[in-house]
Amino acid sequence: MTLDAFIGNVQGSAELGLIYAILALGVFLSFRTLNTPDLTVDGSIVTGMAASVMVCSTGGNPWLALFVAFFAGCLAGSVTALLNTKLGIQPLLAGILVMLGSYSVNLRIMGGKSNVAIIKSDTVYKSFEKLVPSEYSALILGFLILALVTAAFYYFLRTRLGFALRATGDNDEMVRAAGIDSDKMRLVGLALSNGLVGFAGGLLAQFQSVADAGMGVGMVVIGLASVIIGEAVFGTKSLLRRLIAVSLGAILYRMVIAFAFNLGMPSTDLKLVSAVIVTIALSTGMIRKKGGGKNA
Amino acid sequence: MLKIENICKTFGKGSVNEKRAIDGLYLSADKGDFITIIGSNGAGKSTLMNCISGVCGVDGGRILLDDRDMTKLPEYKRSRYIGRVFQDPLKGTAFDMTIEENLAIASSKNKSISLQPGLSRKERDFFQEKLALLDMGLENRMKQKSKLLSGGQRQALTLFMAVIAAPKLLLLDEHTAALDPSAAKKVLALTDSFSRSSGLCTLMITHNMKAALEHGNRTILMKDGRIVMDLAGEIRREMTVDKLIAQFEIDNDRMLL
Repeated sequence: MTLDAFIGNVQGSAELGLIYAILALGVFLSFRTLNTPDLTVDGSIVTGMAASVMVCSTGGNPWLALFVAFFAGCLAGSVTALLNTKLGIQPLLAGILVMLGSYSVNLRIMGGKSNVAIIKSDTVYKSFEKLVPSEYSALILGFLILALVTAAFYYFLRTRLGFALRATGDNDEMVRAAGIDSDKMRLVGLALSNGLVGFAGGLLAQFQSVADAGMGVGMVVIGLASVIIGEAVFGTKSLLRRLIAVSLGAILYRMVIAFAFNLGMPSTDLKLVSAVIVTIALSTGMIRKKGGGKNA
Repeated sequence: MLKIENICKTFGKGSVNEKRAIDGLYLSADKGDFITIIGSNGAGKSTLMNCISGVCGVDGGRILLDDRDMTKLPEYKRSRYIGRVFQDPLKGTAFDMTIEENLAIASSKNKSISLQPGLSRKERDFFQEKLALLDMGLENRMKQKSKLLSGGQRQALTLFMAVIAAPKLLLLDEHTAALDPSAAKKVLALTDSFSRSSGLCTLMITHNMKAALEHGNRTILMKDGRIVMDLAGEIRREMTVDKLIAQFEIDNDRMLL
């Protein structure tokens, strides 16, 4: 591989990684903060993509498209939360049901087509490149958006509502004893989590100028891998550090995958490799726990 | 203040395991009362507390707190008027959050919960000052996660969290049973001092008959989901563990400890 190709590879992975970092933050909110693995993600990321390309392709503002993608993701997460809290369906199963159902919803959003390209439409990347003409413009924009999302997310987790949400994941009996409706907290948490995922999907669709109904498969695993790798490599000392670690984990994950492709891994093996990485990461956490008692 | 009228609670209705846990129970308590509750296993003590706090609903009867009918309110809404400490020290706090964050959650019980800062400097100073009164060194560890605390420290913190938002009722379900004797003694002493705060009514379940007679101003004995003894005033002062056993044919060894 030439040096230029290598640099191009790293840059491409970083650009993608910055987008996947937002997905990872969403997964962090459900998996870590609420302590619930949420499979809605595989559906809600495509919902975000679909909403985003539909707004863009009809000439709408691409920033508005991202907002709509966030909102669409929130809706998907709310459905999962309501299935869980109101109908008593187990969280994992509720997520699977919404993931399944959303596939049809996503196709409907995209007007019955399984993929929609927006090559000619305006996107946030195109408009930012006009503003900052540089080969790194996608990188800069991705970084700015991620920084903004992380800051807002960090601020949110330190509000009273954020406290209540974090406590719900830790101990919902204590939360109810403190006069807080734990069901409502789960609703807010899963909605926001999938909102972030939808936002990431919306951004990803604009970055790639295409939305595809099948792109959601395995996204939750990528999110989990990012969270676990990030925490293991970059630490969990403080809340802010943890959020940054999760983002860096997403970027690192993209780099590792790109590197594996370069070594000759066929792209069809990607899902298997992802699954194996997450399995290893989860099991090392379990082994550590056996030594040290209760750990977060 | 607290009025419980003819409540009933049956678990597993219609099944072979049907168990009438509470059977037409009446209880009324005044502001400032500190009632200790004893009874053998399965007498319905914990179920009574769960019915009051809303963890489980009742099949019949009414529960009034300050003339407000709470019978149908969900658990989290009742919690605004009720502070609770559980037997398991792990249940009282959010383990992955710091001491000050736990306190902030407990103290915002009656405030609206939205995007205000979770913890202000003023609150932090207030918590620090109050924590010092617990005399457990927690005031210097406010930024540590609560999972790092010992059982005794955790129960003391939970007790403090239960009363910080000035509830009308404090429910303690064997909150010292999981502690070593010296920690239990300390938490009981704290319980005594908190129970004296104005207008608070305290109910404490204990398996320790001696503690039941030494703490509080009233002792009730439960059996088969009913109150079979209610001691207060002069009679209670003259009551001893031996007399209790003789009078009520208490046969549970665990209650004698």
